Amino acid sequence: MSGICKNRLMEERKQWRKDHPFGFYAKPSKATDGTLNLLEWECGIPGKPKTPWEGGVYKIALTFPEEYPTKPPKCKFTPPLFHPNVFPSGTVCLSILNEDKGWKPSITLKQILLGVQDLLNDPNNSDPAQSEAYHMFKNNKVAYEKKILQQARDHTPTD
Amino acid sequence: MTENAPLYPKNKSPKTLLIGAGGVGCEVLKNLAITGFDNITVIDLDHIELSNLNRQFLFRNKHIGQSKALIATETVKKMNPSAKIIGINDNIKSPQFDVEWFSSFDIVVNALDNLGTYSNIFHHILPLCILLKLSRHVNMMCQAADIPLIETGTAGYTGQTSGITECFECQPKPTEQKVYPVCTIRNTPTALIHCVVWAKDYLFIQLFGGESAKNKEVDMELDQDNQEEMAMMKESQKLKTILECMDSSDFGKMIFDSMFGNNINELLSMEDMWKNRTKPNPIFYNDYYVPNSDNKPSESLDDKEVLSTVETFRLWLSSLEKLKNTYKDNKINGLTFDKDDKDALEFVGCSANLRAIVFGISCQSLFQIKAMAGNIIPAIATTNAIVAGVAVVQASKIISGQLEKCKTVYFAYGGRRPQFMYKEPLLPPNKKCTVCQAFYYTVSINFKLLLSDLIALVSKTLSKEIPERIGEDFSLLEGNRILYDPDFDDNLGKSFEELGIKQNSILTIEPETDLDTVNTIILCIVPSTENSLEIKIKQGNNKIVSNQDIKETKKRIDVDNATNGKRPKESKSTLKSVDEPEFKKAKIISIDIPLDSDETIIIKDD
Repeated sequence: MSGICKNRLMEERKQWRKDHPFGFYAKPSKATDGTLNLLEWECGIPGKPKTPWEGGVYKIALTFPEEYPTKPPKCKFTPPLFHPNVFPSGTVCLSILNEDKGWKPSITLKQILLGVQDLLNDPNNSDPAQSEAYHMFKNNKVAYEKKILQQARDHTPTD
Repeated sequence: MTENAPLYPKNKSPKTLLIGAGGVGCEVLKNLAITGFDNITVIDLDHIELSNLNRQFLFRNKHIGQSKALIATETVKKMNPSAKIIGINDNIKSPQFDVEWFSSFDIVVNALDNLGTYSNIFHHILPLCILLKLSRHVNMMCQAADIPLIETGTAGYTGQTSGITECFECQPKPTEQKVYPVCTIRNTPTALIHCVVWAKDYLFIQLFGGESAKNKEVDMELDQDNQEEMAMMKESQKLKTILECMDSSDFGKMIFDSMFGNNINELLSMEDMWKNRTKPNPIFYNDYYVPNSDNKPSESLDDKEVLSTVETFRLWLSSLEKLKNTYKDNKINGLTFDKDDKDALEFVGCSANLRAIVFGISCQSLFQIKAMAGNIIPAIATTNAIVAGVAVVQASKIISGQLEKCKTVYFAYGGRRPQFMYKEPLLPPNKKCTVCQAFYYTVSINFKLLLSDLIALVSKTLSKEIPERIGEDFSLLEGNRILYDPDFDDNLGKSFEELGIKQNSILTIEPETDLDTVNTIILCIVPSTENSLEIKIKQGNNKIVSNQDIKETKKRIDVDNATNGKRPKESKSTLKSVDEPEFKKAKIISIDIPLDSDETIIIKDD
């Protein structure tokens, strides 16, 4: 891991510990050897209030490449989410996470997670990643919302 | 440098470490030996392959399969029998090559073969990221041991030799391998390379990959990352159905119509995706299939020509047929794409071109696609020779203490500038670089000790010694593993052994202070030679002017923490200052190009 990458991630961790948006969490994941892996983070994104997503906390794994922050992290919902811009594998398709489009090295972890939170209730239909959610969102808003509400219930933290 | 002046005082023959005996390494070794460097250690873990022989001139046909370092040593010894040359066939990251070992050298030349060359010839042995890590490792070890490092690198037709003033990590390195966003590969390709990646990493694997490759859900490599996404698409279910009909005579038609026709129609059904994009045009088997003819590709196809769509279709069909037969005998392990396998290349190339036709992208010849799919960057003997020549002259300059007027030298072909070689002023170190601006300490550790012992020692000594650098709270990492931080103390009771800390491990301490300056502290781990359990910290010297000064400027603080055979209950530290500790920033080594004058070398391009 380059010094730049490590330094930046340590800084992100420090900043996050000091202050982070309500309802979110973000921490390096625990490896099998008992240490924390600075390149793999476990995060949680709460659905925005007054949207069908409210109540759910959606677990997302961020994988940082060695070239971070030159390259963006890969963000993947685990388990995969029903959402037009989420691939069936869980990977999020979002312009700020695309090296060729909106990614800038200055984008912070907090901004990424807030960006994905925004995307939840504001899908971008011009970049669909799964056809099922795309078609339902486009053609049957009622069924779509019902499905999202159910998904929020399934993602409600138990503790 | 006049003709008669010796490069260095006769009694001080510089001990030189050369890392890598590949393209550049061979040249550097030969140059060093015949320039009068007569105490050289060369290390390389690779073995000689046929494809090396066109530019690694120390090797001959009969050497194939033998160690590069050893054969290079043998050959060069004949050129300069009086030189003491030691070849080591090992990985520079092996534990025994720790900071103390590095310290025994006066100068290090890093000639790890260019990253691109490796990706071409050795990509199956050493992935790019590991090589980059090796260079980072060498850089860090030289920082820790305070040895001047000369970095060489070539990428295709361009080469670079830089003196490390800026250290290797001061600026982000260009990323070697581009990773394409999944959405682009899968849904909206806009360049041929996207189609090549699709054909190689998705289609080929789905059709001919082993069972494990097809179903695997792990992110093993970058390439497979994309596969995983695509493998999970609904269409792969349809594909599975088709695959069961592999023996059917309609197999080619089914695959073709599914990949280039029906799947495209599926994409088109997501209308919003195409509002601001050019729509793809699905193509079908029957568009190109000529009934009552054999539909075989013509026999005299030129792989440097762009084929017509019909020819592409026919070649696709015939290569599919051939791969199918190879696959039948290897169903369990499956096939892997090899750019030198004619059938595989034809299939991937034609598939990429057919997808390009669907998406309105210009096609390319198979030869071009081979370069894209194989990630080939040519390695040029001339470039290697020039870069190695410049590197050795730089080494001479450092050794002879001529460090003024120094530049980084580039060798570039076909740029806007008229000259082949040009130089730039050396950049001072990046003040934010966490590698060269860090503080270095060597820690002798008995690996049976616990992490808490080290944490206690750091808190009790370093925090007091340099409180402006390290506050009360800090994190301790090894590579990307966080061993400890203020919110994470699970591992305190584990021994270094249990945590996988060994000789040559490099730990970093990141203080929680809010200073603008870099306050990283780097601990180089060497095994303790004592029988008693102890942690000894000695400050590395962070200063170097020239090789004469290397030995003299060693400053050390020994922090003894000895107990007799028992783990210390309380870290009791004594500071033993051998010399005034001096916190100098990273070293500055200057380099000049191989001319006494300040002129730029201009080679006319005829």
